[in-house]
Amino acid sequence: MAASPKYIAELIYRHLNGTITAAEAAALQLWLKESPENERFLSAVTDEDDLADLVLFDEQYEQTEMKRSLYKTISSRLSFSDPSAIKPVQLPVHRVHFLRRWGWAAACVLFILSLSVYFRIISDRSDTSGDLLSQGQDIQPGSSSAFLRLADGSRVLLDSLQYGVAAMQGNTQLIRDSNDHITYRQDNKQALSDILYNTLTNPRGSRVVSIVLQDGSRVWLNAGSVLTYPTAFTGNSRQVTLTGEAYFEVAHRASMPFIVNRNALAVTVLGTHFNVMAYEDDNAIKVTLLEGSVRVDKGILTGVLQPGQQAVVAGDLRVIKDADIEQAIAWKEGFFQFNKTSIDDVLREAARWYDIDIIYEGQRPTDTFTGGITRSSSLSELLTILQMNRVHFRLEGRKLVVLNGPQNK
Amino acid sequence: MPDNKYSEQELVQRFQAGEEDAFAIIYDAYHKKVLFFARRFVSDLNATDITADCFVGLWQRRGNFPSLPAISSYLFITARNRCYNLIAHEQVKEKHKGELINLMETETIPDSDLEDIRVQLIGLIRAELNRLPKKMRAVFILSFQEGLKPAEIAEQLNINVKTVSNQKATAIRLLRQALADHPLEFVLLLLLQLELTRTVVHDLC
Repeated sequence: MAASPKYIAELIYRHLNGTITAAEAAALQLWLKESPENERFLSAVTDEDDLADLVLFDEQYEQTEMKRSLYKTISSRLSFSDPSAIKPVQLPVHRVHFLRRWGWAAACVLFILSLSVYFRIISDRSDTSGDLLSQGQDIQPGSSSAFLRLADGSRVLLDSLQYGVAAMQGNTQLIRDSNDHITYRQDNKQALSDILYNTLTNPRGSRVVSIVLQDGSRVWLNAGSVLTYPTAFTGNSRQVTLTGEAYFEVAHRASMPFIVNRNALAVTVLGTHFNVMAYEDDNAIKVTLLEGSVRVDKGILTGVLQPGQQAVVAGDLRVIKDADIEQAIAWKEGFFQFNKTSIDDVLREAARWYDIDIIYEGQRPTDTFTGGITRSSSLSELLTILQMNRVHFRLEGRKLVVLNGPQNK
Repeated sequence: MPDNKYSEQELVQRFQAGEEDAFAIIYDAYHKKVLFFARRFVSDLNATDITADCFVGLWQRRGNFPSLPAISSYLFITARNRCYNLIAHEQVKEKHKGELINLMETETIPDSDLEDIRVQLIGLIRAELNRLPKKMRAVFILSFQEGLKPAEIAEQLNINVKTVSNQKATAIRLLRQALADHPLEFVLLLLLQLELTRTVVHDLC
């Protein structure tokens, strides 16, 4: 076992209480795949009755005489010189490679990478076409090029906003603090002004940005997304408009529902955490709920989501009961994560992140892809993994040509 | 004070040479894993007895174990066999009997690292409990674990019965707040609620 038991225990703990990140989940998966015993162990150790039983036993053991008396019993049976001594000692470290938390996650990614390189080497023996690495080109993920359109129509890059109060929008201050958090804050002493709107645009190829709206709700915006919102919320609802993908942590206000609009679709919530994926080039809009409850309306169709569920809105509205939450919010955690995702969908996500165009030379591959990689990877690192699925590429500037894979074997 | 800086090999050598400090270090590293392993199958009392026997046996046969893996195997095999023997006396928990029989038949040696994960995980969950104020935690544990009635708890902790009920209600509320987003503690909470209901009924009676 390469990871320390303590680290694996922490992963299982976070897995159980739902605070596990995508990277940690990947590390746990990797550990599970090490051996079937690990899988059996996980299902046994997470039995809730057993857990409750052992936790209380542990509590009793640590807090009462039980701990001392056990050692006392042993040392007196062995006629030790100092029967009461439990020495504060530690076993010398004997594991050779302890990987620390991120080291382990990194190792996991490296493992996937090396595996894919290995596969590529194998497949390249019989296939010399479309090796984009040999052409010496690559595309790195972008820095931030997100910008705000203020109420007066002026445009300002998020990264060039002045620190402190960067702008006044009516009676609302637009603040950039020293940690680069961008927040709308209302000056309560002033009378309400007209409703003003701002638009935050995060272009394709730009890294994820987040802002805090005037009501305290926090929004993360993925690349290729646009969010329009009032600089102060008044009236009996909080309405914003989204194109693209955003993750919301909505501040609770029972009397003032928060509504995300997207064409004919409306997502209504009181206070909750959820993800909306609504790109124009995607066939379906996906609303994924992590906490609280939301209602999704599209025309006459309505769906109410419980945590862990996802609404998929295409022609109709479908509710998936056991949605892949991790996959839905992996972008916010800095990962690409795919679970039997079609190559087509994978490439569409890559197109937004790296700001590239996808061109299919022949038929679109029908394969699916499962796996993950950090979003700080370069395009070629992602493509290297995809080549495992015998999909091959050629990069021409910012155009990624998908070669007619299986046929050119 | 024992010298903690020596290597695994030196530790085992000292242990084999009969140094009690070396034994204490090994005890410290393994006893809880063995105890928890046994406790899943048998009662508190049997589990502590078995753990004591394992370490007594280990010391008496210390010449036979030239490495930590050998020590670990001896401890877990002994614990496994001792638990298994209790099946005949109907002292093994029904729920895990099958697992234990399977361990014996396949001659599986419980994995020390996996048992370590169990111990660490339990510790993490117990930390939630420890965030409760001390007296509340005591009330909670006495009532839930030992099934004591409020009057008995009041006597043990030298507080009045009303306080016990109040403390427990507050403890439950605090725990619920702390664990609000933790599905894991769902069972604990459920048990707590049952307990609360019982307390209320008891108070009414």
